[in-house]
Amino acid sequence: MGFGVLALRASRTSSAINRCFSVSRIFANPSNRHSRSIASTPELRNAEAAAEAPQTQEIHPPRTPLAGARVHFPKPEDAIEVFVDGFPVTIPKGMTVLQACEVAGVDIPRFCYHSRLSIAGNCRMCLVEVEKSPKPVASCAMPALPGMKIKTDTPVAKKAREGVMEFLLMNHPLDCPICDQGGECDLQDQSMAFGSDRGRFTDVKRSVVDKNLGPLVKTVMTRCIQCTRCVRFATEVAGVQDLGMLGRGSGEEIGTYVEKLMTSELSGNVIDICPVGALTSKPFAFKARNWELKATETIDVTDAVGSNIRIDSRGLEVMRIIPRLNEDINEEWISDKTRFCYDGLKRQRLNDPMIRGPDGRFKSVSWRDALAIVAEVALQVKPEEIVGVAGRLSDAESMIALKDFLNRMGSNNVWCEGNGVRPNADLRSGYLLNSSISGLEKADVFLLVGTQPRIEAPMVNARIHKTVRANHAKVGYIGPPTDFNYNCKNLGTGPQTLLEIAEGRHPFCSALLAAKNPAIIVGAGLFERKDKDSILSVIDSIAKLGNVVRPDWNGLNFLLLHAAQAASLDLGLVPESDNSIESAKFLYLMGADDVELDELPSDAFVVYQGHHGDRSVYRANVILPASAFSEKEGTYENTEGCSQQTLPAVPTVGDARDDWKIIRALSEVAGVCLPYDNLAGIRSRISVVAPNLLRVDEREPALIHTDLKPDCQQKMSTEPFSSAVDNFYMTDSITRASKIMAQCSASLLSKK
Amino acid sequence: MAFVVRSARVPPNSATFEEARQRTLEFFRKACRSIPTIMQIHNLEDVVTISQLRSTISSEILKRAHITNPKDPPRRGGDSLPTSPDGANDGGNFIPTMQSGAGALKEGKTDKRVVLFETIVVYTTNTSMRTTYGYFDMVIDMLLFKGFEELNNILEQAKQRHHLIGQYVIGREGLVQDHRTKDQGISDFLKNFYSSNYF
Amino acid sequence: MAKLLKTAIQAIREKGIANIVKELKEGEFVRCLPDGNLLQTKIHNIGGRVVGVDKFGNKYYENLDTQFGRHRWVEYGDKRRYNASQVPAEWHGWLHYITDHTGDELLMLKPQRYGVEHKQNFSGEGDEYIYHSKGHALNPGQRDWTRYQAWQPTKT
Repeated sequence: MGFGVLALRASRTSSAINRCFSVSRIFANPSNRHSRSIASTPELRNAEAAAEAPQTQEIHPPRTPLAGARVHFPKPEDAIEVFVDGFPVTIPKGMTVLQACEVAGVDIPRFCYHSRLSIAGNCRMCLVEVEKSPKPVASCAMPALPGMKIKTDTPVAKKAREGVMEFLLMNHPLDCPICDQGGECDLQDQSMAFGSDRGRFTDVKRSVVDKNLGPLVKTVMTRCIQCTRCVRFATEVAGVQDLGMLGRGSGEEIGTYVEKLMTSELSGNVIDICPVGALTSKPFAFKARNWELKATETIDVTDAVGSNIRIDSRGLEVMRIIPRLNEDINEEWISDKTRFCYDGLKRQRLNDPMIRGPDGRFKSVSWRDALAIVAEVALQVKPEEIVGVAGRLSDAESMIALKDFLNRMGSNNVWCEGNGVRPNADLRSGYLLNSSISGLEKADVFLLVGTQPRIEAPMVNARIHKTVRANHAKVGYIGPPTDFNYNCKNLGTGPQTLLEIAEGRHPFCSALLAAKNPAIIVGAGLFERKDKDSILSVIDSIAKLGNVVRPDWNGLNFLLLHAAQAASLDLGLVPESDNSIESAKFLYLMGADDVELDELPSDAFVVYQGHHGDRSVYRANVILPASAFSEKEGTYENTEGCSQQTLPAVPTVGDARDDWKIIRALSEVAGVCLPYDNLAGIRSRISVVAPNLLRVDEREPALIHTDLKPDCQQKMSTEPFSSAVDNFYMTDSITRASKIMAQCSASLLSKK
Repeated sequence: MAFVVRSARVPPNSATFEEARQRTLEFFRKACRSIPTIMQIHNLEDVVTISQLRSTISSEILKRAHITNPKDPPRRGGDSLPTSPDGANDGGNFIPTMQSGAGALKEGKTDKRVVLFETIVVYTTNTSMRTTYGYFDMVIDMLLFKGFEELNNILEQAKQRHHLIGQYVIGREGLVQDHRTKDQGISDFLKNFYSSNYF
Repeated sequence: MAKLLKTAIQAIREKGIANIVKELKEGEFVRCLPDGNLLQTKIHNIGGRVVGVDKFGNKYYENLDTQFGRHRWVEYGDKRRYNASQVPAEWHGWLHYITDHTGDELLMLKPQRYGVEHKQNFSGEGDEYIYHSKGHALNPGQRDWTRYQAWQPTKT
């Protein structure tokens, strides 16, 4: 220090006398020798003095709001005006200082603040200077008041940030090179942007024992900065009380109070919200760096919600899946199944066309031979013996191609699995989530009939949970015993309870009648029941009783199970006969793995077209390898009727082809050539059948036709509802092939 | 081995057709004698036999048997012979050959360039051609030169194992089996479909 | 030569002819006779002190009376096929005058956990010993670049 300053001064002063004077001045002030300044900019060394000194305020042009921050005025009289760095901003009353800064286009560093979680105000990173306030204030927790003058780039604010950052880094390990968060770490970025270039901490850093949160979330608790975002997420969004804060001061740790795994279907989201590398993805650990990855914005197909995801791939491999913001569908969360099913895309893949020989063994053949054999057999059987089944993960393009192909072969026995016999494909309101996923937030009473949203559609469940937390909506549930992460009343297990409600004998009726926006959610598991029609008519009468379907509010919802279901019903994949499987001689399975093949005649010829060697492959005579959802461009319609498209993130494996191309090629070999050669052609065909599928990212609400339904004379059985999904983690061929999902179901489901 | 072949370079030109024919036979013998060495240095024992390779060479030579007039070679069956310097002998032809070799066999797609010793375009034992020409056989000599060069490249391991397999082992079957008749009348979509998912 | 003979006679006298024959047999003396290198080493051994024997049977000799720089040598254990790569690392230093610590001393310093066994150079001894670089067509341990695991058809 001494020599450095000496040299500095020496260079400034030319005369020897002056130099001697300055040297003596340095030594006369001993505190100057021993204190090392942390501030990188000289004026911050005495921030208070600098603040009092008259400053030449730089005039910035007004900035645009950050990250699409929008100002919405519920009541115009509540608008207040504050000044951020000298510029007036109009915001509604009740906004925090931090939000006001965001609207003004000023980025405030923050760790604990998250717009979808409650405010904790414990990281202190968002300190700003407010005029007439004696100390810097934590902007995330301070409501903006009229006329407030907020200053974000004054020396006081800068010094406050540097100081907080120094404290945060004091106990943060220097292991960025081996940390999976490296490159996408908030702490890394903000310490570069707002931190100092040196620290004064020379002591030993603390270390914290890692917690075992199960097979999905890896913890390195030493890196934790106690922002408590994960704790708040677990309680407020996931609805589990698993995580909490233990200890005080330097002994403060995040943990499960007792040694316990995190049993939430949304647990993967804590990886995203953790601003440091304390919670990272266990399957992704040390696999890739985020800057190596190619991002593809696509959608998820493992359930009917169609969560918006981003597939991060490196070369030919899908490395991870992370959520994408979509306020109407999944906000910014995704379920664990969506996030971690990707390793199923790399296992058990079908990569060559195969034919089962006379000895029962499969043999790889060329596409030419495989298609020739399939076409030959298809032309030999009678048209009505040809049956086609689309799988859970099929896209609309391949389903319309399958239907067109079978129709040209003379058969109309084509359907999508999960829709049950004689599905209602005529009225869209009869199979869609009519009040839309985000619309569920307006409801104040829920009646769940035969659906367990927590395992069937976790994102819908998160909405219900959000609504229950926000306005204390009542939830009634009819179905087998199951877990709920919100307050829910189990009304009964079967259709008997439904009848009681319909006849007004049940105590829940009063809640239903008193509700402003009642929502009935019917599970798609009911579609498989024999007495489906009578149950649905009872539900209709309940809807009439509770005035659920009104012009301004359609609360009669159907929660589908699979990604292909809504589109298949839109496209009219309805079988001609009820028992076509029993009489089938030629069965075309397009990724259908959950079809009951027990009643199939033993001499039936089965073609399996799909991407995974799952269940139906073992009955197949010919296997045609197809591409998975991460490898093709396809249209899917989610349960609320919003059509979305997947985009190819990686190339297909082996000799696989896109689904619709296989059917198009097969149709030509069979002599009934389909008239489309590319996606544009097949989409123009779709536009004839279901134009709503082509309006991508747009929800097409169903028209209300409750009166059009025919009366049902069917007898309702008293058999209780069964659960539609046994194992949340394994519902389709991709997730069944996944090792991570197998680990999850082994370690997490057994605990329940 | 390589230097032996190098020393046996073809002289600039052949004075007569008969001389060119003799040279062709000499080349054929030389190539056949190198087969065991080629198989050894490229470890080809498990993919091809000596007789297969030999027949590949001879079929290549026979394939060009119709070339009688070296100045203006007749075009037959789409088999184009180089009349211009950038004709069939440009090295670029080999690259699609070896890459599409496997696929071409499997899909039965015959690229007309999937041939063995493509550059070894020589006429041979066909008796009808025993006509003596009194002028330079420039094209023949050039092709012969290319043939020696190819052989030399193989012996010097400038060409690697996968080149040989792609061009002369798998490519050979593509030569023998002609799938073109099978693909007649199918649409472009199906042709593309058989070769790749991406079109 | 005369000195050599004298030493031999002295040795016979000391040890007895039976012991000498036994020693010669153990040292594979007959095999050394046609091989000049081995015979030279055998002759050189006379008067030398055996400093140590490694686990391959190589004997390390020292004779401080001979010319400096030629006073340490090895008699290979394998008399049929011998080469310099058979000397393990711990003896290499002693043999080449890098250190005065014998191999037995250095062996005690060898880390137990990750010390690799010494392996002689088998070049030219057959295909199984040939080193092929990564990706070589003959390399049995080729890296699998397929990024997915294909479904394996079973019998059923």
